[in-house]
Amino acid sequence: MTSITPANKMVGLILNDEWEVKKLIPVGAKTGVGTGGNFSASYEVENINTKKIAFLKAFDFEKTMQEAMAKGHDFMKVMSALTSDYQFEDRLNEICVEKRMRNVIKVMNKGQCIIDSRIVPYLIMELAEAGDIRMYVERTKDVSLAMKLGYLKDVTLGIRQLHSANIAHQDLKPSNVMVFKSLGAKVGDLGRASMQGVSHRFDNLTISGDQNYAPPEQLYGFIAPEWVDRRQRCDLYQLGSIASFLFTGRTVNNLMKEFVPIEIAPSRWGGSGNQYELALPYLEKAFSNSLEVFDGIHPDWLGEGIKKIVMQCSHPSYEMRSMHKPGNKPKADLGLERLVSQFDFLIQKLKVYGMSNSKGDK
Amino acid sequence: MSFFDKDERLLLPEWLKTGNALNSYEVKPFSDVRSEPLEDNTDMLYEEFSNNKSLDKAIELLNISFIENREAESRIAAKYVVQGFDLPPQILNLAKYVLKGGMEFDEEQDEKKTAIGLTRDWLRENPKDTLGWLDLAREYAAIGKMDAAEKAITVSLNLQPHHRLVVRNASRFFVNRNQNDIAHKILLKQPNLKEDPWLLSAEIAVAESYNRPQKLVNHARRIIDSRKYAASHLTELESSIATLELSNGLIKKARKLYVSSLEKPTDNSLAQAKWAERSSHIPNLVSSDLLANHQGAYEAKFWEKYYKYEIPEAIELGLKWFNEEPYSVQPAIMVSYLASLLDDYVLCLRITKLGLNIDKNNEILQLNKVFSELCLLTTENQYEIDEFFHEHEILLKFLTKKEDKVTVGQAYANLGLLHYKANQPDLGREYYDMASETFAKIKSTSYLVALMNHYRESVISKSPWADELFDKMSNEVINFNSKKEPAIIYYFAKMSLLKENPLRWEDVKAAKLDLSFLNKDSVSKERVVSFDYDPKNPTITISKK
Repeated sequence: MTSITPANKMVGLILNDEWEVKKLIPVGAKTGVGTGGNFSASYEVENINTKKIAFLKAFDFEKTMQEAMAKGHDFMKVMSALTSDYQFEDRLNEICVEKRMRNVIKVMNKGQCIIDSRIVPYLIMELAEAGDIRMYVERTKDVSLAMKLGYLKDVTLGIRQLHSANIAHQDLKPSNVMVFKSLGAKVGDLGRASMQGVSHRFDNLTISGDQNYAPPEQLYGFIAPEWVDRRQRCDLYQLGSIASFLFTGRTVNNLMKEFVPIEIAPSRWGGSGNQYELALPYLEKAFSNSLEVFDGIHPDWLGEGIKKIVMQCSHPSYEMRSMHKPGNKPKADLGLERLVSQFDFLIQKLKVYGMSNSKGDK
Repeated sequence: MSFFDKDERLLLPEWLKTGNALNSYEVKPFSDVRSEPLEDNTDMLYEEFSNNKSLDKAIELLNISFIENREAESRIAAKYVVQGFDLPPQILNLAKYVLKGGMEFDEEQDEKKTAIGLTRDWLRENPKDTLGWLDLAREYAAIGKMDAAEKAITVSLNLQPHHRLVVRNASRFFVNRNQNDIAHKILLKQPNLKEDPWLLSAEIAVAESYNRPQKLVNHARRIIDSRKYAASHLTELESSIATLELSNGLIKKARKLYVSSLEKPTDNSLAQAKWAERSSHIPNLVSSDLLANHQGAYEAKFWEKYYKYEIPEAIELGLKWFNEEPYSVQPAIMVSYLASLLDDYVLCLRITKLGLNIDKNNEILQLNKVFSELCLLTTENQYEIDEFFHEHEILLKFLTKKEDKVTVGQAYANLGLLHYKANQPDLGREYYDMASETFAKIKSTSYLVALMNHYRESVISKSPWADELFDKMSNEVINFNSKKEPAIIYYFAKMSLLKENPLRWEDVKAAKLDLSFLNKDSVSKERVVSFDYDPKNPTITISKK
């Protein structure tokens, strides 16, 4: 029997004399399911003075502890991990505020409250009134191609801002891209992020974020020796996957899974392969096959543009993931500014040529 | 050893189509360690979707449940997605695909991409597809376009210079191209050569193929003894070392290694063990059960059927063997020989042409092609016949000047056939005699083949020396060392039948011979010789008394 944990009893509370907890939001049950993730509860909160609506993430220590105990884990170790996770995420959020990362969800307030004699730490963040990007796959009059491209540019900017502070997001997926009516899209949830040079327990996990959005090397348990390869190139993979999702409704993993032979596919996809290096040529072939779906995007030039972006971002070989031109001298960064330019160019082209194929070809 | 066999068979890597290679241990990792099992996210997403049905949740659920192979949840999400929303066709197609119940990899599409033109188109769009280049090279090699094949293999090697499959296939290609040193270099520069039994096995075979010193054999023996690797990864290495032991005369050691190699065999190690059975009289290495339960292994199965006198079945397997190794002339040669035993000249001609696509200078195939063309000649136009004979005579006379005495003998035999067909039996007889003399000098079993072919032609042409030839042939077959060679026994049985029915060559030719009584495991005790000349299915049955 499961009882309601303190983190799920916050409705009606006034936090820091400023924020009223309005209602529970049934999302974000758990990050990194199956990989030792933490539970949290999400709420809509309202600023008493300004009436501004925000998002509250309450860390459900109780539920996390209960589950860990049920699995026979060491209490002290779990406690220590929880504290460390909270502190680490808090620190990352502070860095984001300090560096004024405009395309990363901002933490507006934080604190802790006591419910049923249990401490519940929380973070209050900007709430995206227009939801997350999952709602923007459908083609309606309110969702234009230009908007989609704009959001992708914003996500790229968000990832670039994080990378410039040596932070890798690690869990970039459609539900973690928030859409604001006036501010565009922002990247949210740093719960699985990694910081170069700062050791954190998630760094030891092969798959840090959501397994279903994880790049192939992680699915095969391969750990690249360099932090940038291991972490930031994972972000790039997931960024390509977001682009694919917005324009086709399908993530890169979903597309590839259709073409990867079962004999060599990772166990997560029902296959029996377990060595990344051996599987790689088959993954590359599957990737090439799956890219053909972008040929169905109208107008053609836009399909080609998105295909090229996904090809550069989400290549199954992590070494090939970069926005720099192939053959050029290897560079330390991944060239995200080039990706921003590519989205800009596509947006401009869309303004000039609209949905026309022929003009777009000129 | 069969007289069809080559003196040595090396464990050179088998170059499979990259899709088929997936069934081989070659692309399997050494360790079977699996990553920690993860919980499905589908449950959580399905719960969210059930509580509050919306398109965004349905799309996510469809994406994730498809990845996690959760068919029921995929279908529920798909049903929601196809309700008339204006969605990109890609997600709608996935939803329709899921609702049709198809959750399997679409192999048909892969099959379509095998033709050279399509593969090239594909590679133009996807120039970094290593497997595409590898398959293209194989397709080129199968039609003898070796320069184009080399380019393709070089590209794949540059894209994945250390991938086991790519490296082994590239080494096989260069050996086929008689550039054994290049094949060897490719293997020698692999950083993990000493740790990878697959690469070691290839290195040993390639070094042996051009008589280079075997520097890694002792290391390979240590690798085998360490039992560090699963049997599936050692099979070819053990078989390779066994073959070396065999060539050193160490039969006992070889046998032990062959037996061990068959614990988890590949097609290649099975074929090698079958070869060892034939060539060195190491009996009963490969049981029929083991072979029957192994998918593929067409070469090994071909030989098994051949030694059971099941010639049509052997041919069928030979064609499959050729399909698996379209870059190698050996299966084409074997099928052409066996097709001639059945006097199936159409098949013989077809397979020799395919083999000549790979290597247009292969003399055996050239000779077998001429043989089948001569046998198939139907025209009555004298001018055409003269032209045809003239053209073939030039080639055959050219081949009689070759160094290889088997080629010379076969060329003489074909000249004999040509003159019989040209209604010049005296000349035909002379050339066949020259063929027999050539083969006799080198004690080749082809001597008997030449005699039998000669006898057949003498009967068809109603030459007066036919009976005399039959007696000679019978004596020689009984006295000759290779009397256990199935091809000889099979065709001798046919010629014996012709002797009894000299005017019914067309019936004899089309008859199926059942020589099952000759098999050791045959249970038949009764000897029955029956001839059923049903024009639709003529059959000769000979069973043991």
